[in-house]
Amino acid sequence: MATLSVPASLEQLGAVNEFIAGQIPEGLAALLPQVELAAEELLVNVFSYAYPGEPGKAEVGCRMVRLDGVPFFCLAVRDWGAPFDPFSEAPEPDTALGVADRPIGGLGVHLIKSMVRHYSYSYHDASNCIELYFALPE
Amino acid sequence: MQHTSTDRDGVTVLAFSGRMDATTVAAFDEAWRARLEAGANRLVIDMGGIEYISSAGLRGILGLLKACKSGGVGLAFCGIGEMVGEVFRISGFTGMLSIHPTADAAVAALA
Repeated sequence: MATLSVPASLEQLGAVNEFIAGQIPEGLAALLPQVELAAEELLVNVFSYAYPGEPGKAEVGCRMVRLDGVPFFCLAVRDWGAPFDPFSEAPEPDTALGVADRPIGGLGVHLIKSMVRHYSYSYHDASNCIELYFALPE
Repeated sequence: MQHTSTDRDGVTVLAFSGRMDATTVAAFDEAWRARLEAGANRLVIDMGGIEYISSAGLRGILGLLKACKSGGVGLAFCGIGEMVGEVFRISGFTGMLSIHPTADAAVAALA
């Protein structure tokens, strides 16, 4: 798997996007906005919360995989902060609320879940590991 | 992210281009706040040049919606592209916004 390691800092988003764009296979460019969005949502969380008051790093990886014979584009994001599973710990937003009642924020994980076919979280080797599996465009 | 501001029949049209993400949304917020502080009471947000939006961008849009609602400012959107439209739909924003195909239609809706 091709990986990119970056310091935990918002300014790294541009470098991450460049890396992802270089990893998307030819013919799958339609996936790029979704993959960039998922990477941003995960990394902004890592950069904001994983390393309170201290420097840290994140690792982004991309690969093509087959699950039960079906091909997927896989984005992996890893950090070495305290154990945190965004998929189980982020509250489900109510997307039917109107302007006045809408809380600001909390939509990132909802967007990711809506755009991927499968997702996984694991904590091992003192790191949070998230893998997202994007169905290939028809 | 870049923007231009024009006045059309008393309606302020703010046209944005580029990416609306965690690193650029502050520029979006500054742009609409400056127009509201300058007294704009009808605002069109033209997103025709926005190719990408994340939840950070949605936070900016929601802040604008809340400010316009509490300030009695008329607000309409136009130029919603494929990616932005998809993110709006998934997030339930489509139903909160007055969305029009063109800036002309959005301006007319606020007339």
